[in-house]
Amino acid sequence: MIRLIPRSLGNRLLVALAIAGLAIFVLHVVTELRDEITDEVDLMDDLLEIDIDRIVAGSSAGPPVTVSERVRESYRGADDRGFFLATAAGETLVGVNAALLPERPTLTTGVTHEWLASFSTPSGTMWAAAEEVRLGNTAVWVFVMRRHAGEHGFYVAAVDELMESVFTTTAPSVVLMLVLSLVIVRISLRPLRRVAAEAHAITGRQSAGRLREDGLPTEIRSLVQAINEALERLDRSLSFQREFTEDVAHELRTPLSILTLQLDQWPNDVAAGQLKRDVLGLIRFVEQLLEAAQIDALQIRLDETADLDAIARDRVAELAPLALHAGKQLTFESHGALPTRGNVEAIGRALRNLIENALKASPAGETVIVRAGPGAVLTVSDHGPGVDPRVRHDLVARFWQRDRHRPGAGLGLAIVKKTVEAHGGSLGLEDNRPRGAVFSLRFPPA
Amino acid sequence: MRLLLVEDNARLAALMASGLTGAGFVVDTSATLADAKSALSVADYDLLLLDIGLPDREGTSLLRPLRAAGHHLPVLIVTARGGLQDRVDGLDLGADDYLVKPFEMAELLARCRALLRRPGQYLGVQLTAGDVLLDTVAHRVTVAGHEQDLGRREFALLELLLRRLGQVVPRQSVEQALYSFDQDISPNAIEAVVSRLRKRLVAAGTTVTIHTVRGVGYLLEAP
Repeated sequence: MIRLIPRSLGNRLLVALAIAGLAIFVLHVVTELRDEITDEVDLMDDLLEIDIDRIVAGSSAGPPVTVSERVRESYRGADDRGFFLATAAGETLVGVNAALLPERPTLTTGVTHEWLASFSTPSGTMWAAAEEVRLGNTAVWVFVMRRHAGEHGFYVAAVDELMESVFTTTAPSVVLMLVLSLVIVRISLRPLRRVAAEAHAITGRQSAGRLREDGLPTEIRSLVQAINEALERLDRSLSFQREFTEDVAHELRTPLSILTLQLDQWPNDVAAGQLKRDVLGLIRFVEQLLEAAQIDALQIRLDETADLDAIARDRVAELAPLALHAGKQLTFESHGALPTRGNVEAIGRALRNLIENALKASPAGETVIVRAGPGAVLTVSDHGPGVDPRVRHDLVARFWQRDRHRPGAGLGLAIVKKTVEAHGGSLGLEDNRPRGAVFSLRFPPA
Repeated sequence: MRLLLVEDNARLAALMASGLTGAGFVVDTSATLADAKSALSVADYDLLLLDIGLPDREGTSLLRPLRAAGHHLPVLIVTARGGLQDRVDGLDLGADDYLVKPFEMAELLARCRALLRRPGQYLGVQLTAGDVLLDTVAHRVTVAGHEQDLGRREFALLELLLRRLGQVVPRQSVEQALYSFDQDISPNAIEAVVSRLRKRLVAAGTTVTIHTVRGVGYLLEAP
């Protein structure tokens, strides 16, 4: 289906202009026709001119000057129309019903080119016109006479007039106007396209994302200003949210410390053990909440160089005692990792998340291997149960957990993904052989 | 061992103090920075536990003048602030370690002991773990009271592992401690030293374990 109102502003303007052009065209036609109807002089002038044109078209320069039989035949026998061709000196060359002109005017070649007159005769008004034309090298005067417009005179004159003025002048003007409009509209909409491209480039992460206001026409600028103000408000409410989350998490740390230390003093029975696990889960949750809030606000400074090899080594050293306590092995392999640009602490936390997950998933006695490189890549492979392909997509969704009964908020992978994406990298997941999962953090090389 | 605990939350301070006292530390507590300053001026402490968010001023403002005056007092920052940059900032200001709340008592004690086990610190002379005792001055090692005759490199390695008990000692640190810069080290030289020390300790019937964290370093664990 053709849409009556186009989507594009440019096309809308074009349609509007086309309609306007058509209206001008119609108005012009109507005006012309009205002149023909209301003004007899105008009508007769037009008709006589058409007669002259026809006669000239049917004439040959000779010598002697002749008029075609067809033209002469159309005048022969008529008592209300006539014509003749005369030299500049006034000598009649050829003609039919030349006597219908009651009185010959004195015309000077080179001074008058056109002449129109009406004469009152006993049998009514006689209209006459003359025009100086060139036939070959000879200048001749063409005289035509007509008593009335005739049966189709009005239409003949109207069509001729329309052909001459409307189609030769108005129509090309309208078309030219449309073409120019197309160009102007395209040029005028250029700032709008620029603004759209800029708006596309704004991501949720960069809080400083604004649309440029310079060089915009005032109409667009006020829209862009309004959008920028809205972005500003959004930023403020987002950063308020982040700060609130961070504050809450910070505030929770001291009471959680008290709870932990208090529990440390309890006798080690089953109830205390359960309570300790609950508190640990709570602590992990608060930590992840905080990490999630911080990662939302994370701005990667491009001048920071992160040595992935050193980061992995440090995190393995940090978590190795934990692994040993759980009866598992944690090892590191360096394959000449390339450095990347980013936040060392944030990348380290993301890697720690992956290592902690891998340790949780591994049965006792198994080894989790952390590899740095080759390339700007960190991988963590385990020999746990692996990840069901059906849930891979959900894996990074916030609060998703494979085992709902384990402590931990399930925010971990979402934070990891956000961190690596904030660095322009990606989080990958593959199967380990013969079983288990390999998570990878890929970064753009520095 | 006397330590100063600067913490404005009274309940948390009391719990930390009781845990530390139970582990054999003598603990003084300050709730404000002004309090802490006067305490530092009248008594000699072996360790400072410093909270950053204090009611009167930032706890870190105590650090700069302390270090500027040339004090080598070990400082452990204990804070609720664990932002991406906070840890780095805290260490840059002259803190020796940084512990983010919440923590378990065992973790706090381990961190305190690790700082005190550094050379020149309170626990830096006699290092113990399980049934192993190493006297850095007398250059003696005993396992369950029986003196052990260790080679120079094995002794240095054990000292290094004891000073960072429960933590992974990077292989590079081991290399630097055991060999001088201009010495060529064969790829498995460190492995050989570790293996010899491990055998000696096992032969002596020790309760401690030396773990190898492949690709990173070594770790001494006491039961």
